[in-house]
Amino acid sequence: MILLLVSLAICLVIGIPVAFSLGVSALTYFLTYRPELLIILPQRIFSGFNSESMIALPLFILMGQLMNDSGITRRIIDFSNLIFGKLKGGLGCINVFASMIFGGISGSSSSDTASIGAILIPEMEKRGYPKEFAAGITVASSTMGMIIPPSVPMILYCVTAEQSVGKLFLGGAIPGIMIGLFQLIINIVISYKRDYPKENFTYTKKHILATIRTSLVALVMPLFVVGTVVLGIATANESAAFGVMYSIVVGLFLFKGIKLKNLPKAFLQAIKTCSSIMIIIAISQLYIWILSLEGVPQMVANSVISFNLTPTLLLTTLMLIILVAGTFIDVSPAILLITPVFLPAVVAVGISPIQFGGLLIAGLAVGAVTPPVGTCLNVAAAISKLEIGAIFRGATPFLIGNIVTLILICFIPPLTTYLPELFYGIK
Amino acid sequence: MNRVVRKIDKIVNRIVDIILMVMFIMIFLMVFNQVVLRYVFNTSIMGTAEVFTMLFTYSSALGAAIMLRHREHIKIAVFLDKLPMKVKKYVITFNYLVIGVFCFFVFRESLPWLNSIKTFRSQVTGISRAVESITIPIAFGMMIFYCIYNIFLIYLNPEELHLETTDADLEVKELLNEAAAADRIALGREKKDFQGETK
Repeated sequence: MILLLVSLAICLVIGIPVAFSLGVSALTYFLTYRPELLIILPQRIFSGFNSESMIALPLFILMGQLMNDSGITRRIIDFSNLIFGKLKGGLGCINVFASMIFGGISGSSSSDTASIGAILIPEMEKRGYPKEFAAGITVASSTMGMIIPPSVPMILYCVTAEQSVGKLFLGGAIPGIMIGLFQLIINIVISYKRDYPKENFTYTKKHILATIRTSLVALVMPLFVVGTVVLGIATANESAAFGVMYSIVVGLFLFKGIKLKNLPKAFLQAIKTCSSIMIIIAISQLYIWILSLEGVPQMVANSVISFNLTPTLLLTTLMLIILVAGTFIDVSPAILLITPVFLPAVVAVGISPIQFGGLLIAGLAVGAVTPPVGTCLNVAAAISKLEIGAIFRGATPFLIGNIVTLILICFIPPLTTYLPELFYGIK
Repeated sequence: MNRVVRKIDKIVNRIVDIILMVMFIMIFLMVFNQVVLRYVFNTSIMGTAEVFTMLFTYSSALGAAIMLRHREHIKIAVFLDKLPMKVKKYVITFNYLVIGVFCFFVFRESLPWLNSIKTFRSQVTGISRAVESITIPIAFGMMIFYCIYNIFLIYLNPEELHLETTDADLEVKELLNEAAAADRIALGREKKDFQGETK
């Protein structure tokens, strides 16, 4: 077991891709202890690739990509401006609210930072906001991309934990909105304290109507996708396929941002992005197999039971582990590594896997914007020309909103379980 | 010799890209078609799910191989990027060797495994299990080739692997380019709307 973990750590540190780090450490284990089991290698890897439920993954990636490519960001920002522009620190509120909408559409924190940050960070700077604040709020608000459904990490968790995608979509809704609201409040408090400006954009009636119409068209999509899954009208795969078709139609004919000739490229890009996650899923099957061979999940569950930890205490401990892991490991591999180890223990003490899933995704979202590893931070650094440390300092007050939500998820299970129970009727 | 290998690499990349694209478009159409058939025509085509799952397995595995060629797999590059270029080259070479060894074992073990399952057939489509499972030796065989090829590139043509640029910078550049392209479209459309309005 120690050999497995040490070899994995070494491989990760020297920059071997996560998927192959898992594979190499598994190979090391097999060659050292169980060479007769090498035949397992192709079988387990194939079973990881051969998953019908994961087809939703590239489709959701494509759906977000197409909506993003169709150039809706400016409309979403304009729409947010209509609602929050007149408040002090209006641009900060616009930034957070636009991320809430964008999160539901794209499901990706890094494209959220790139799209919204590229427009709003320079704009906020021009309007007298400190650069650190502008970049910080952009990065912190991008965390909602993963938490507000539909979300790619949620699908990944559901497949790994064998949970219903619809339930977790619903489970993520309240925490996602709460983070947004906390960040809005924090922004308003800071803005009044520092006397940040209001926005005085004047739009024509036609522009306002066009903005509302476009934003509503974009907003319908996540609602439709989540709705069809939750109501059992379609599976996650089918709703994702519908979402893709909707994005294509809207992008081609309504927003006119996508060209037909660019569609194949978008498909290629989406399947390639998905492949880099699928190879981790596939090879992690070896790792998970070894973990269960060694009885690790059971060992962890037994230890937790023997410590007599209450569900809240266990979740708080796990929250800290997730936050630390998230600062070093990317979201997808973190989900694949943490879930099989801790889920049995979580279930053993009576915690809902949906509550754990909500905590895991929300926790990893914070990790994704914490140095040293954080694509969102790098993107914001490239836009604002600030050091990552400075951006993180700017993001810290807003991340308090995330941390408070995480703590509340640990202490108040209905935050994540109420909606799933309401719609599905069972725990 | 160098030119021949490069040409082969270019052709293989192009072919795999086309295969991936076509397979994913087929998957999308099949899944979409499944819903339409069920809700509109109250019918379904037997075995569709099995076929698109097989296509997904193929495309994911082949895509993963191509991603290795372009050094685009998810990794923790923060320590690697801090190394001096000369040391970085050696470490990346070592990494490819290690990955290559792993892929070799998977490839080697997949051959007897394929042989053992070739007689199993799907009850719905009648397709041999070996047909879908063959993707493992194909993808991992390609990965072995790309490991060797990339090791050569590190010393012969490092620019092609973007070794001078950190992985984080490459990712950021790509994201910002995409965002800028989308924003240009939005601005162009807004301008058009505005012109229409003033007319």
